[in-house]
This record gives sequence, structure tokens and C-alpha cells, in this order.
Amino acid sequence: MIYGLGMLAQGITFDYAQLVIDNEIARMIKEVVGGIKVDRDTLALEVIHAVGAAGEYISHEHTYSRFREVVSQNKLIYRGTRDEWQKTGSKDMTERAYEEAIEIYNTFKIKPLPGDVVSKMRSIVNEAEEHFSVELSTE
Amino acid sequence: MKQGMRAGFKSLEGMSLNLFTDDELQEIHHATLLVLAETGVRVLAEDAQEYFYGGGCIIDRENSIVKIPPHVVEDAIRSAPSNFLMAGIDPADDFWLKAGSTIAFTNFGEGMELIDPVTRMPHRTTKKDVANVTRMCTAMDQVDFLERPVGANDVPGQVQQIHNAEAVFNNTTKHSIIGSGDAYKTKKIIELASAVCGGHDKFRERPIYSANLCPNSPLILNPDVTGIIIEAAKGGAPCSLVDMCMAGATAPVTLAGAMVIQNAELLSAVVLAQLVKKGHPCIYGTSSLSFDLRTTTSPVGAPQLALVSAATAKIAQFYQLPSWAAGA
Repeated sequence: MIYGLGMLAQGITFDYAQLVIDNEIARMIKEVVGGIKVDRDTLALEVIHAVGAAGEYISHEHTYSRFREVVSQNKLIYRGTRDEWQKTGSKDMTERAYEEAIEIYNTFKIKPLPGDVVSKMRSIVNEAEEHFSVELSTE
Repeated sequence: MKQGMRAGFKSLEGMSLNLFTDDELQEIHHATLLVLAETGVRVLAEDAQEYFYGGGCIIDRENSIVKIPPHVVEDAIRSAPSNFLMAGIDPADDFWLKAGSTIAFTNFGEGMELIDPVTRMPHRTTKKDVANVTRMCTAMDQVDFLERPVGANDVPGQVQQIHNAEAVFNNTTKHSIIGSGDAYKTKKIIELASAVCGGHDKFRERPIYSANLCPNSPLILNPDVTGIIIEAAKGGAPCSLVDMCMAGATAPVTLAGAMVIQNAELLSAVVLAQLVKKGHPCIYGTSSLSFDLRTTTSPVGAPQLALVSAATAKIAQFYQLPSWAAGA
């Protein structure tokens, strides 16, 4: 396992933009580590014969049915040209990452635990506070 | 066109690093056994010394040194499981952790500051931040389980870890690794987790929390660390061990020697966990670094971090223990 997603500055500072960027990088790492599968289907000899010299693969069923799983897709890293990037507002990766993070922050919800579990946890926290003679918290 | 069928064909799934040969791994293992048997580990708490003594170790009580014979170490390596469940609060988020060539990711923990996404300025984190960052980490599809990401710095220090745990459990559906600080707080966090699971028996069956702990270097298991191991093993919380030696300061500057120190520290913790409860799950982890005498810092982004991380994974694979290492 590899840890470290979301952290900056020698492990002092957490950053939401870095978290979503690292999440994207982790996904790409898994694709690389996945390697290249060598079998009859992936060698695609029959396809190569069918397409022949000077043919094309874009319209072949073998391409169409597999490109989604083979070719990686990114949301935060921009892979276009500088011209295209400027036409779409010249937003750098950090800006796109903060936008993505704020969107998730505002929309992703966790289903709350049942009320009795939440209050049972509160009382355990209060017990610990009594144990250390510190002020009892309410939340 | 017809082709012959592939017979006895060796196929490689994925790619990996070759860092050590089997001979080198054996050599690191034997060096570690020698260190544990001859140099020993400083264990200050008497209850922990008793576990080691009962397990066949030699105790120098005057100097609080525990010497662990090779067979005790090798028994512990074998009895620590190579596979175990890191249960999610929601079973849909269960993660089956296993040794060997698998790859998984988690967030960093524990940060002291958070950058506000709107003002872009860092502030010291509060319990509310623990809740929010936990929720954000849960939203990440590549975060397979959580580490408590930041700390609640707005509560009294003595109970901070308990508040961290409460905020984490209320804001994730995944498994969490949480630092507890000492034996008492480990017990209380197990109580919190048991409340979430619907009882201690249910927690033992499906542990949603692992106890995070760090041995001290060189070769020290302090009373808080042994206390956490003992409570976690008794209570059924997997132990996530993170070594933090600094090559050139608290371990030999040469990375092979640093790996021996790290290995001895981690294995001494595995031995204690196995002596408290045979079969207790342990994660073999590292946050060790090189120490640069020129600048008196431990640069996290240095090439040595990559080497230490890869070495740790390779040694853990050799032992068939699940591992974790720094990646950022």
C-alpha cells in the first residue's frame, strides 16, 4: 500500500486540490503497474491481417470495443495543445483541481450513523475527558 | 489462421521493481535476526517485558533490554497473517488487505494544517476539518481505506485522538487507521468503533479501525507503543506499524543498515503482537528517511525515500506480510 494522497510541505499541510490530483495520479499509476498483457486477443494478429498494410484501425471493431479500457482518461491534467488550452480559458491544473475539490466538497455526503450510535460515541468521548479531567465537549 | 496452443507459457501480469535478489533478502533477514538476538530492543514497560519473557526471550531487566531469539522472530513472522479484512463501516467499502504484489492507496495522515480551498491560505486544523477532510478522502475512488488525515487541534491535547476518531467514524464509510497515543486511548477508540459496529464482538469480526503506532529508533519500544500493541491485540484492532528511522541519525547512514534497524524494530513489534494474541494482523510499514547532515533535514522528496519505500515493500513480500510505504 502507498500512502500520501493530499499532503504537502513535508507532511504538515493537507490540501484538497492535492488530494484530487493525487487521486488522479494514483489511478494512472495503477494503469502503468497493470503492464501490457500479451495474449492472442491483445496481439491482435487477425486484426492486423484483416487491416493489412496501409489500412486503418480507427473504424475496426477491435479498437472500438476496447479503447475505453486501454486508453487512460484524465480530468485534471490537460493533454491538449497550448492553443487549445488558451482557447478554453488557460486554467492550470491547480485551478481545475480546486474547482473539482470544491464541487465534491459541496455535493458528497456521508449517510449519518444512527442517532443512538452517535450519542453512544459522545458518551465514550466524555468518559475519556473525565478520565483526563478536561472540560466535557458537546460536539 | 491456425496456430499452436501456448503450452507452459510464462506470463507476467503487470510490472514491478527488482530491488533485491533472494540472497540479499536472506542477508537482510539474517542480519536482523542477529541484531534482535544479540543487541536486543529496549522495552521499558514491565507488562510488555513479561510477554516477551513468556515467549522465550531473554530479558535484561536492569537495562530494560529484550533479546529475541531467531525462532521466536520466525514464529511471529509465520503467525502474523498475510491476508486480512480491513472492514468498512459500509460493507461495500470492505478492503481485503494482502501481502505480495498488490497495490493500493490511502491518503496522508496526520497533517497539522489545511489549505482553505477558497482563500488558499493554510490554517491549523480543527475537529470540523477532521470531519470534512475525512469526508473528502472517502469520496476519492483511489483511497481504498483511510488514515485519519488531519488532527483536531481545537480540543485538549490529552483527548485529541479520541476526538479525531469520533470525527472520522462519523464521516466515512471506509476502514480507518487512527493514531491513539497510548493504551488507554486505544481502548477508548476500540469502544467507539464497537459502538459503530453494534458491539465489541461485531467489531472483532469486522474491525473498522486499525491502531497506528511507531516504534522509536534505534531499537526502542517505548511504553506507549507497547501499550497500544497490547490493547489493540487484545481488542482485535489490527496494528499498523510505521517505522520512522532516519538513516544517518537514528540508524546507519547506509540504507542497507537502516533497513536492518527498521526491520528489527518492526519485527519486535510483530513479535509482541503475536505473543499477546497469536495471529493478530500487523501491517509492516515505513516512514523512514535519509537524514542530511549538511542541512539537518530529512527531505521527503529525495530519491532515498523511493528506495526505502521499495525496500520495505520487498522485505514485507519476503515475509508475506502486508506493507505500506510513503508515496508522496
